[in-house]
Amino acid sequence: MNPRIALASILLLCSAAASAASPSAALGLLVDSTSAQAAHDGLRVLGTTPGSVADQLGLRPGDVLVDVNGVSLANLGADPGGRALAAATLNSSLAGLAPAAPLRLRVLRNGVMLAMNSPQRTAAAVDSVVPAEAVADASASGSCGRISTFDVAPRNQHLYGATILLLDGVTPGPSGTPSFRVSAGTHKLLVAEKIPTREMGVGPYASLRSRRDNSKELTVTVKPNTTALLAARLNTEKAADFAHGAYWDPVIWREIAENCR
Amino acid sequence: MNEHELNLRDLAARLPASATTHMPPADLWPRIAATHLARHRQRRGRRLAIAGGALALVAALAFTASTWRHAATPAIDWQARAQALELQLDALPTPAASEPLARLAETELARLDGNLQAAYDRGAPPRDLDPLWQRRSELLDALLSVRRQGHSSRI
Repeated sequence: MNPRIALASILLLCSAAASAASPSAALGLLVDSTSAQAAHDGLRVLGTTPGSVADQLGLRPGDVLVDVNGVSLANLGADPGGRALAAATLNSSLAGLAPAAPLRLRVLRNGVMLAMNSPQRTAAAVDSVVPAEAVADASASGSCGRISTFDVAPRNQHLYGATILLLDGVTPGPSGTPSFRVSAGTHKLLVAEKIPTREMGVGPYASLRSRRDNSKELTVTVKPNTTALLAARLNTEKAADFAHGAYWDPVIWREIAENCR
Repeated sequence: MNEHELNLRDLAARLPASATTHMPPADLWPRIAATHLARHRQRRGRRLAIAGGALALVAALAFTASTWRHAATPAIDWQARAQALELQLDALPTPAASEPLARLAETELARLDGNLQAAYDRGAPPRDLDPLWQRRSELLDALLSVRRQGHSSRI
């Protein structure tokens, strides 16, 4: 597949995933909606997505969201499914807001009531990483790039962490580093997978597999001023094939423009 | 003929009389057979009991070992860990512009948080929530390391 088409597909998937999220999740807000009891005094904040509107508002894990734009979220009881009605109320309040409408929250933190105000913004986390092709060609004068095992690969594409055992025949270092600076050009890697056993879906006996014996070679062409992100792709239809190692493949799942100097 | 042969002849001559005198009872062989059978059954029963006991012992040891192993490696509270990492992230200066790697981590975190909220909304059990919190923790860890590197390189 053309890399540009693949990238466009990934961006479309990201946008679709973000738009499918509930209004509170699109705001970057993670709340405990499990039961009316958990939301007795309001909705408990479990986390905020870094860089999201909720994060920029200053919400923190442990905060209790008491009301949103004057709509109380305390003592609302349970919905027919037994979940906190406050979560549905929050989502309907957010869904009814115009894009430019202000957002006013009252939050209980360590017994102190706080007011947080912000104009609402769309918080869909659209992937805005610059594709490597756009920059790498323009800066061809650079003579180095990086290969990275930084594990931020999307799990919904069955991509998991990987380790580089050998880089051009030698152990890469320093150990514990997720990125290795290399000269631009072709490099040979020996890669081991770090796929969690529970993700393989074939039972706990998968933990008996030898990751080192199932290591695989991968040839990577690193472009100048580009970081090639390495991952282990789980082949779900062959997840039980440990004997031949067919259950996984090493892949470069992303290339990003990044100055290697 | 030697003396030994004479003695044997003598003995043979006496034998019929002795045999009739000491004729075994008619039910001797059935009794022997019954006793033999009973002993055989006893031995087999003992062997089965020993094997069963050994099996039970192995099972008990395996169970004890597994519970000990679980007790020895306490489960990580991934939710608490993720929340602690988030607070550490909040404490760092807000970056003017995210590093490309940090943006990738933020994108994956946004996707994961959507899944996590959906799991809470449908009342998913802890065994389903735990892997999501673990992944959130890993991503926050990665983001934290990138932001710290970026921060230190600016200094």
